[in-house]
Amino acid sequence: MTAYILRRLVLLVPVMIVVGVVVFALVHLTPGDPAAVILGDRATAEDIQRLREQLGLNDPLPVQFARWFGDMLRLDFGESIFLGEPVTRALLDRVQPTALLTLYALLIQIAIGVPAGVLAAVRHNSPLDRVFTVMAISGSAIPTFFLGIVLILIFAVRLRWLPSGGYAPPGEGLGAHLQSMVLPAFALGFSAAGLLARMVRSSMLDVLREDYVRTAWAKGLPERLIIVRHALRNALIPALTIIGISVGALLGGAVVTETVFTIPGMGRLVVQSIARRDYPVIQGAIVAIALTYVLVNLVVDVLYVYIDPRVRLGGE
Amino acid sequence: MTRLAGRQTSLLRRQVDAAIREWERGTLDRRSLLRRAALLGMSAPALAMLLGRASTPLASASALRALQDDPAAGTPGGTLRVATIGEPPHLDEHQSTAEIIAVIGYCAYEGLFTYDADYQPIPELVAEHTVSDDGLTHTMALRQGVMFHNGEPMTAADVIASVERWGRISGVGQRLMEKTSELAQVDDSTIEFRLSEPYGTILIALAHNTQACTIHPKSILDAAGDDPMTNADQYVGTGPYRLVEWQRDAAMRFERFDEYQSSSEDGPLGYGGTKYAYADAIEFIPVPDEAARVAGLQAGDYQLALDIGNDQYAVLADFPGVVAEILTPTNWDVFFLNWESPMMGNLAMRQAVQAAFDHLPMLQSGRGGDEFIRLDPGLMMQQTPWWSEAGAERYNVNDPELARAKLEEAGYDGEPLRFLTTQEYSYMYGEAIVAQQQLEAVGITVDLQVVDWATVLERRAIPEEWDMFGTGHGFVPDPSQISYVGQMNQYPGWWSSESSLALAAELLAESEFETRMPIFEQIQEAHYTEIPAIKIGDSSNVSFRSEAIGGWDGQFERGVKFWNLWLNE
Repeated sequence: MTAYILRRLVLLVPVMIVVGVVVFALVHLTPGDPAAVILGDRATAEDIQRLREQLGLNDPLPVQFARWFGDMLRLDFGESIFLGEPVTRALLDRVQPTALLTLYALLIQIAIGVPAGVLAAVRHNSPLDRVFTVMAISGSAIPTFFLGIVLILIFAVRLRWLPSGGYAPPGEGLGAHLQSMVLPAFALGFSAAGLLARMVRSSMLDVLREDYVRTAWAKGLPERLIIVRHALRNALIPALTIIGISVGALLGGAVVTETVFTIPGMGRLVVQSIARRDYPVIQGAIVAIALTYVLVNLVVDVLYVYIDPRVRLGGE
Repeated sequence: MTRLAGRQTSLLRRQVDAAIREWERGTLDRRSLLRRAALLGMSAPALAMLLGRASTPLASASALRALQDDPAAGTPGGTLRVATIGEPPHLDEHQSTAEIIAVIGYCAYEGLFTYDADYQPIPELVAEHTVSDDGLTHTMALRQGVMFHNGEPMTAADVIASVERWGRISGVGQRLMEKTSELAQVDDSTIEFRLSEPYGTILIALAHNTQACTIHPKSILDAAGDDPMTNADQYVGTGPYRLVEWQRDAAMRFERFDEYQSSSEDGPLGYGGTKYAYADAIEFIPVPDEAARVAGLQAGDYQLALDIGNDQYAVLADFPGVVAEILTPTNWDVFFLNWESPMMGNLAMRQAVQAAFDHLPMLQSGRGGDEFIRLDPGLMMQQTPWWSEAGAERYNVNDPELARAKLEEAGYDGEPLRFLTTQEYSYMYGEAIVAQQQLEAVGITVDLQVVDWATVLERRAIPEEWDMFGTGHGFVPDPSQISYVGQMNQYPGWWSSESSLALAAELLAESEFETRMPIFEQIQEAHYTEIPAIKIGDSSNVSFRSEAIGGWDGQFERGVKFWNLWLNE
């Protein structure tokens, strides 16, 4: 097991090199000039040239790449062009809102998706199943930003129960923090719950037809016990894959959600940095997000072993 | 064009018109006018708006201002929360022409001069200004006892360090310093500009608020050098509010500066005079998503929301607790033609483009309903004394036949016209789409290149990359500040006729309005005959704010005067 995890960690290096090259190339081949953005609409050509020189943007691309990549290996993502602070600090300052938003959204996704999927499978082809199917499909189909705006209009503008946006860190009071996170986490989690519910439903249906489930019924075990202990545990294995992938999707969705709800997280930083052509920040953030994604997938693979004893990792 | 805001019945409109006429004749005082308006079910802001629309521009400007809340009668306290479209890269005024820096910076920074209500320069940190008879020596005695936010008193050394840094970095400053042979410190509180030749626009240059000549402590400037200041504790000025916290991408918080001294105690004078600093604190919150800014204003999370599109007017005009006021037009939209490209370097080709355009549909597509737009040939807005119709016969030509004839004369061979635009600013895209149709209708092939704004900024600086691009121009108080008049052959498009360059130089050198106005009119005339650009038309913004805000004063063109606003309740 330890050997497997170590091997996977070593494999991270080539993955991150590829990510680094792709990100650097994409960012630098996109037209647009950070110096022009910083200096404003009426800046003269000389001003822009002077700033480009200062920012090291006039060096050949391979030189810039080597400099950036060398620094990155030492976990130094460079200095933000726009914010005037190290990228690492800019990212760390914004990790908390994004991490918590993703976590809450994940919890909401599981809290809605798993019971809905189980109920739909147990009451297969009933009206309840159809209602859940419609909800699941609309959950996947409604874009997060649209759901977000609708939620704001209902709960912030009409009812005035919750703030329309902004972020209160947990350190400033748990009540205010949860209030600021309810709407964005729900908007993000609800959209993701649909897919999970469909997945749980179909794997539950498969499991419920298995012989051992029939045996359990024949033994006269209570329904609750059969569904929760015997069926659900086995049905959760494919669902776990979906949850793992969802972390990536939720991180991506956080970009949009943070913009709609004015949450100063990593997602919004990426969007704004793209508009500002803040190369070091875009690169650093994407590398960090890619790294998170790869690590989450590793954790999911390891979790399989605990949920399903049949799974053996890496030829042990 | 009379532009009433939709829903009024004709009866109500006649009653309002009658009241306004009485008001203009002077037979109705302010209180009676407001009372009558209230009987008709109109709020003071709505009435002020109608006044602004119905009468002549200059009369309405003063009438409007007379109608505002008494600026001295505000209530201190509370936090004013302002939602902005984004946040500035930094707050170093000397470094950037970005409007958002100017608008926010106004709370904290002051210059030697500022604008009064009619956009004439008035002293701000200067107590007394004298000019020698030959116009070469400007002596400025500074106000005594002015404090910086960091507790240092302001001295002549600080002023000289600030002016010199600004003079090295900003374009306007560089042009002034080229004409300045010496910037001398006469004593601890007096400085002197000794010029090599008269420079008529010196006070205008010192009063302007984008990339402004703001005054900062010498100690801070010495440490920063000419690089942008990026550290929040470097943002120190003399203004009524001081920056206390800047959480990047979350909020910028200013608090009242207790040791602030206004330049006068006799009430506000445009952007100068008394600054009351009613709110205890002002917070600027970047909310990039427009729908989120609107929802936050409706929910009462913000009292002011900036940069909201006019199409939200219909949504917010009737929303309880929110004021949506259509402002006097301040922006104008313009297409630049590239004199350095083989295609647009040809005058007949530029004339063909000028003749092909019907401006009204372009404006409607870009800026929305008729209540927000105005066809007007003037390069200076109607609320300035500089407004002129010179060259008007070549504005909004809309003559496809003439366009085709000019194309023939130019020997146009069907080569695609490269038109740069962006969807980031919906008006630019909306106008470009209509322009494309109109150009194609007369036989010009258009290659519409839709890219993001950062790319437009980059490409438009390269003469080989484009033939035409669209943008907007904000309000400027002086014609020398029009981007492509002040920096004529440097601004993308590179307008470089010798006669116009000579006129632009003359405009900068002269100081008297009576001398400068005819020069400017010749420049505007040349704008329509030489065609460096096509002015499309004017547009209004809408002020969206909470009803709880008091002290809104109708002069907004260079930014909202946050320091005179208060929160009712």
